Amino acid sequence: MQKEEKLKERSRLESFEKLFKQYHPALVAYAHQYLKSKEDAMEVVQDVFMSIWKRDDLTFDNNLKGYLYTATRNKSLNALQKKKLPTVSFSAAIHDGQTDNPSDEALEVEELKAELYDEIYNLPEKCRQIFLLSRQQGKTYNEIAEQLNISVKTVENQISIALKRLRRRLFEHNNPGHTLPLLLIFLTLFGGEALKNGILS
Amino acid sequence: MKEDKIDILISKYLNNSCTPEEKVQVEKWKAAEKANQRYFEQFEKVESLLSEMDFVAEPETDQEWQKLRNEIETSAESKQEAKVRSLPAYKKYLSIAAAFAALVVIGWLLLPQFYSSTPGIAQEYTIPKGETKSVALPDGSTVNLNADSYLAVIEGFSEKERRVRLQGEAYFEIARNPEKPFIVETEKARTQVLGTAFNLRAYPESEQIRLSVTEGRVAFRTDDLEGVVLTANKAASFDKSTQTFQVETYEQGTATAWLTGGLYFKDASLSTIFRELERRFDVTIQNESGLGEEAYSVELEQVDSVTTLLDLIAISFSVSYTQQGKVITIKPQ
Repeated sequence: MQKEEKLKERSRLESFEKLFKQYHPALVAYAHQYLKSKEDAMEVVQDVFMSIWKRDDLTFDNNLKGYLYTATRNKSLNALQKKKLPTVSFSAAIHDGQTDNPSDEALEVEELKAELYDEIYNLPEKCRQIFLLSRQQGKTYNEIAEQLNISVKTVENQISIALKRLRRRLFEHNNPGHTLPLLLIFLTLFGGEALKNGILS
Repeated sequence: MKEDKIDILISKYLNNSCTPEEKVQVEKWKAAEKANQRYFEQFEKVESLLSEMDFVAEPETDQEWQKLRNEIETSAESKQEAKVRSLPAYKKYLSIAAAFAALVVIGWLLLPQFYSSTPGIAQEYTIPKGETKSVALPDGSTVNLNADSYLAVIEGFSEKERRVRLQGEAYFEIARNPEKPFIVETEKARTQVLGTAFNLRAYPESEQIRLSVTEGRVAFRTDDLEGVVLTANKAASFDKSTQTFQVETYEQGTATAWLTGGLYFKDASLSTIFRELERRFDVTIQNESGLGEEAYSVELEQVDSVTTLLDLIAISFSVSYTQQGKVITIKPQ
């Protein structure tokens, strides 16, 4: 390989690594909502990154954010369909509304959730750690304070900072975190062919 | 109350961690002003979304990165070979493309002259694939023509009535003139207005002609059928084979997204979406991917190139695509 090309490849790999590390935890959590299995979620996310790597023409920067969330969601739904797992939460959401377009609301909820995942996993380190302890493991403020050896006041503060940022992300559209809608294309699993195939095969 | 203080209290409140006094404090604050109430409800919305979300403990990001990196490095060599081999073919294609481009340009320079001699037609506009055009009519109306569309202004325009003929898609902003109705003829249906704005989609290969009204009142009919009268924020379609009109839900911005470069589809088949991309970017898409035709919804505010959407589809559904000049082929990965 030419020296120059080798260098280019190296720097491409470096920016890819940065992208991976920034979004991997959020995407695994996002996939987990659908797949309810950590292993499956991790596999889907690996797939997503691998197919992004293979695309020579992409620049690995934050502009890919929308692609990452969308691809993770679509791939998760496809994986679900293949495994023929009961798609309880999703199908319930899809069929909830009585309107002409029952999926509208469910899709909007999915988009909002993607925004929240993105914000949570980009919180400052300490803030994220405290927030996730409270959410992931349902720990009380006291328990978190004890575990991390910090004051309850600090826990209160950090959690309120996190929630405040989440509120801002969803409701103040001129804030810097708000770029493009994260979800850009949806494959609706419950439309026609996909469903029929799922039942017949 | 200081803003930070109330944020902490609201967080505790939603987390059921308030003392009874704090609870009262929050409720009082909330009831004090409408804006407070709204602020509180936004936190509640966040909270209700969070309650449905999963957070994975230890997603093993570093190990996963090592795994991926190994995979990348083992596949690197074979890829390198492929790259070298494909180079000469690419060069050859470039020169063919250049010759082809010259032909196309000449073709377009000649075309308008052929058309303008058509009897009964005062003026014609033919918009090729990959382009759009805004046309100013003599009465002050404007017509934005979408790609792969044709508009003819009928002779005697503005004398008794204002009559045009459309094939394809256009957004009309009609100058108001109650004396002289403005009539758009499309294949099989006609749209009549006095002064209004609307989008009309009438591509020949589509079974439907679709009208979306953004302003005013529009009569949508055929020579024989009464049809429907639509007002602002209403849409209807005419089915060419069954000869029936149907009022449809109007989706804000959907019909006119093309004016600003957006792309919106709701539960559309893959071929419908590809057809739109073909028109807009002047390409031919061959779908050999085996992807199902099922319902796809697309919401893109801005599509700068055909690859924007194809990349997304490729990454999402494990397919790949190659481009040879204007022909794009989608294949299984």
